[in-house]
Amino acid sequence: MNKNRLFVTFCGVVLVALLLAACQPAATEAPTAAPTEAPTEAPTEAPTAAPTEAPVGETYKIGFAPAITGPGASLGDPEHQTGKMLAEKLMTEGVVGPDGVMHPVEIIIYDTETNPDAAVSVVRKMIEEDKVQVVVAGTTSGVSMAIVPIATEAGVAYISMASAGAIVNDPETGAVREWVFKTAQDNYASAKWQADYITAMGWTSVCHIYQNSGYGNDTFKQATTAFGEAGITIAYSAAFESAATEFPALAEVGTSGCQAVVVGAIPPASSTVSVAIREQYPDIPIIHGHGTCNQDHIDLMGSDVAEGMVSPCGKVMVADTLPDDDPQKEIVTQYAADYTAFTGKPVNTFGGHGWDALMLAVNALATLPDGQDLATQRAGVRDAIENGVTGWPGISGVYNLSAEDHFSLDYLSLVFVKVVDGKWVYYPQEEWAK
Amino acid sequence: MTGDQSPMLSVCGVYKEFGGLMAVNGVSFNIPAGKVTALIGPNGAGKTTLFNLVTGHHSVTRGEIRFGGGRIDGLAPHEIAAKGIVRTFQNLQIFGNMTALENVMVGLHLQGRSGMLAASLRLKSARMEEEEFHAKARDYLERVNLLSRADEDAGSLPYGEQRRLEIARALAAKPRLLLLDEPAAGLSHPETIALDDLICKLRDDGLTILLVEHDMDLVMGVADKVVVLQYGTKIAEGTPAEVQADANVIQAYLGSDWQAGDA
Amino acid sequence: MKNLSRLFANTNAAGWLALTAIVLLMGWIEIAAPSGFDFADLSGGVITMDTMVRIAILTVVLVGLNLVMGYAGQVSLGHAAFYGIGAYVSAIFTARGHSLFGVSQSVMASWQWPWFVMFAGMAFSTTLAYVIGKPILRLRGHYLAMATLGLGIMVYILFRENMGVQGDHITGSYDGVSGIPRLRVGEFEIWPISRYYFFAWLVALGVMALGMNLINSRTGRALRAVHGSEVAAQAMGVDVAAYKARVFALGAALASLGGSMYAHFQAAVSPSPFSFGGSLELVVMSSVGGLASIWGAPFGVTIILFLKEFLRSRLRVLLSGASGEHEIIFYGLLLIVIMIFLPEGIVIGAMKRWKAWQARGRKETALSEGGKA
Repeated sequence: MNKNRLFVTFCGVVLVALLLAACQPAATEAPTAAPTEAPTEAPTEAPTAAPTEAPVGETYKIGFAPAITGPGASLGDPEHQTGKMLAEKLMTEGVVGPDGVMHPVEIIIYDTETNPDAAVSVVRKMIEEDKVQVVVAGTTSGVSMAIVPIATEAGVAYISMASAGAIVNDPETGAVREWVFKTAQDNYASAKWQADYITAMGWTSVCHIYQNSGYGNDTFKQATTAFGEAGITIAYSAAFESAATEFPALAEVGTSGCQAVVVGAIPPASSTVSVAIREQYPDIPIIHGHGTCNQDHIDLMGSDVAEGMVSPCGKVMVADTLPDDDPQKEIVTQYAADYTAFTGKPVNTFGGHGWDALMLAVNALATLPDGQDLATQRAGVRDAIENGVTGWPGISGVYNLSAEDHFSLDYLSLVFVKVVDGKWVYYPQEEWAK
Repeated sequence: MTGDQSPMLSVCGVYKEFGGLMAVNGVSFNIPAGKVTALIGPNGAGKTTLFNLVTGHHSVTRGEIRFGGGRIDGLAPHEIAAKGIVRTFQNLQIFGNMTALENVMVGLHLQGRSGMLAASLRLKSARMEEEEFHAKARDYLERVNLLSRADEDAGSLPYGEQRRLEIARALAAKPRLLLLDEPAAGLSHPETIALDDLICKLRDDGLTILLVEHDMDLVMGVADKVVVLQYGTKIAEGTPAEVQADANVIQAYLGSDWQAGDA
Repeated sequence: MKNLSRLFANTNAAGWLALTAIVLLMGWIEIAAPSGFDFADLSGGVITMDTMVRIAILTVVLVGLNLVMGYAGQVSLGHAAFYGIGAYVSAIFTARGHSLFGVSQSVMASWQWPWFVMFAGMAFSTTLAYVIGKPILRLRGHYLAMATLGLGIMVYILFRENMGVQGDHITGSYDGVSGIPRLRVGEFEIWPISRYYFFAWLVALGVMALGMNLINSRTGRALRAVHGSEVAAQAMGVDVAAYKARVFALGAALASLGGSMYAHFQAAVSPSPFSFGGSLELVVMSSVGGLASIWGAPFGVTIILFLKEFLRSRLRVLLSGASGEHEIIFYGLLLIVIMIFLPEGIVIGAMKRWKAWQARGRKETALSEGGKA
């Protein structure tokens, strides 16, 4: 009896809650909703127009879906934070079209859950229900690949924040995917830098130790290619599990006679394995990939262990030590400061991928004249991204997009960095041989 | 004695060892066709083990079991069932996830032919078979007086009715030899009398029955032949009267549950 | 027509027809959009056609899983493996058939090819499940759960690691396979999504009908008998090992069919939905709906997917500052509550409660009326 009543009560509560949720007009906020979450809400046309002189047109919408939860969340979170940071500003300031009409820009935030099924569902929803002009989504490659056909069929420009080359170029034919762009360097870029560095240091034989994960395996694959091209031998390679605390495979590093160890891992595994390498081989040089470019990586192993380790990274990691003539200096310094002010955390490159993707979208929206229908707007955004981005400095590099290249950043858009006193410091080629 | 007719089942020098323990120790006996044979003995005498050897649920360590002329030891339980040896269980093994009628229909399994494909597409053959099964199953329920319960969940039937349902299910499998493992266990006195009648009726219909039973009144009332086991060994065999007079049997049961009449 | 009615004679025909009617009605709302009111507006934009198609696809998979777990009582924690095999076979052969296996371009472009691949995938999954099922289905309880778990993880790793071959030209490793064509019948493309909705539900309703026919047949009873008591089933002449392997193979065939439908719906497959988490989610859906019930399949999937969609879009409105993690916690709590109060799943649990309630009503009226059967 008691159980019965409890059950009925519970059902009642859930039903009421769901009904309340369902009846809640999307435009008005529930009394409990925090005002800061406003942009993440389900969509409507509710331009709370700020007083400006320009005439105000319709609100443009960017569908934004990073991996807020799931295995990709550590990369998706800074993207999410960047999106929230931009959302407040864009909603009030908006963009001004070529005809002088101001359009508020709403960033509608969803979570891909690092799951291709959830990602496709939310992207369909933003395209069909929210009627967004452009989609920025996908923190990881698998999820981005799942979004590609949805955006393509719907005729909506899609900007991915993941790195795989297959996102923008069909791996079967090599053809550029008409509607798809991306903003993250792949591991080949990292491997090229590492190869340059290894060659410059006069080494010919290295060991490659990588994490058994999508990222880790790919670093090894790309290193095999890039090192091969540069004539560097991988004397020994081994994978380790992400949660490993002991690394028996390292014993072979000593016997293989390699001159440096390349690590393909992301924090915290990258830190754990680095400590283990240092313990066994106090003097061997350690080279990381661009997956380690955040402060956690250094803090987790301690700055004395990290001292002197090098890796290719996005410029944003070393914004203040970049040379003044760097075309990105201004934007990356600004972004790093904004990001830290907004989140209270040190900046990292992944937020930068999100910033680039969102700003490519925003800049493209600014080219649209007022009063077009949705399909035309969507096509217009695509054309503007493909044809209108030349020499544009973003966080990850200087973009030169075209019909032949929907990514355009080469490996030189990364920089080489070194850990000095527990901080990432710009480490230009001229200083290498020293 | 009863060896004059050709036996339906013969157990010849059968041994069963469980990790060093000889549960059945060189037992031989015959089950005459068309008669009720009872297997009795104190607890732990190896009656149920012997049962399981006959039905193939345990494998024989040594010896032979012949049924209708052919060897059946070494066959899988479902193959033995297909040869016509069907059993009930001491610890009820009703399919609690089905209705009473469906339980009996499982008993009809071997008489059916339709497979997965025919069934899922409801081909004509499958439909005809299904109709036939329904009718037959109702007949068997009627025989054990359970027709009114046909569509109830078998698991929710009272204990005595589940016992009868097991018998109906076994009968549906058209046994040549029916093995009843303590069918009276847990039954009330009137229910036991009804069971008594049922067993006699089945025997009169020509069915051969092997009965393991504790209830001595029931055994002595219905059995044509009694086999007595103790510690895995046969100690006596004969008509109920012969067995009751056997010195070994009296010895084995003295002070145990022989006099108590047990429950 | 008569044939058709016979096909469903033994099923819960009324329920099936009601579901068909609902499916048709929802499809009609989407296509005709009476006065601009389309399907998604029914739920204020929360439930879209996308969700409805996923429900249909997962229903196909779950009917198979329910036959294996609910009816035959064999725990499978690796069912997503067969779902994945279906998806990857369709993906690889329709998108990479030419470059990998030299299937001629004209064959690849023909409308029959994806269908052929779909059935070949089913045949492959069925055979594989039968061969693997024979030995592992001797195990019971936890051991079987572990063995199927292992199978699931193994298959997932093969997908993720490009079948153990260097490179990513086969399963595409983490990136998966993209460029999977839409299904066609002749010149008629089963796309846009509203068309796929009808196709997916046609298959789902068909599979449900087959499933309901099956459980109320000689074979179905044999399967349920295996669940109820293996020794008794054997004693009635049921070849327990053979039936277990067969139902496992049937479950795999349906999972594979669902996987192929998924591949042509999603147009790109990657490994993560076929991981242990994927298998677990199938089991959860199955348990919520009711394991020993064909109706548990659509109900379980619908409840879980609706719940997810509502939480995704509404929890943030209800709860300030709620993020993805809160959704997962809330989702977990709901599951726990369902399992505590309706341990047999929504369908069976609700039916039992309804019966009990009716019985109580009868008892009360019996006092005055004398009661009836």
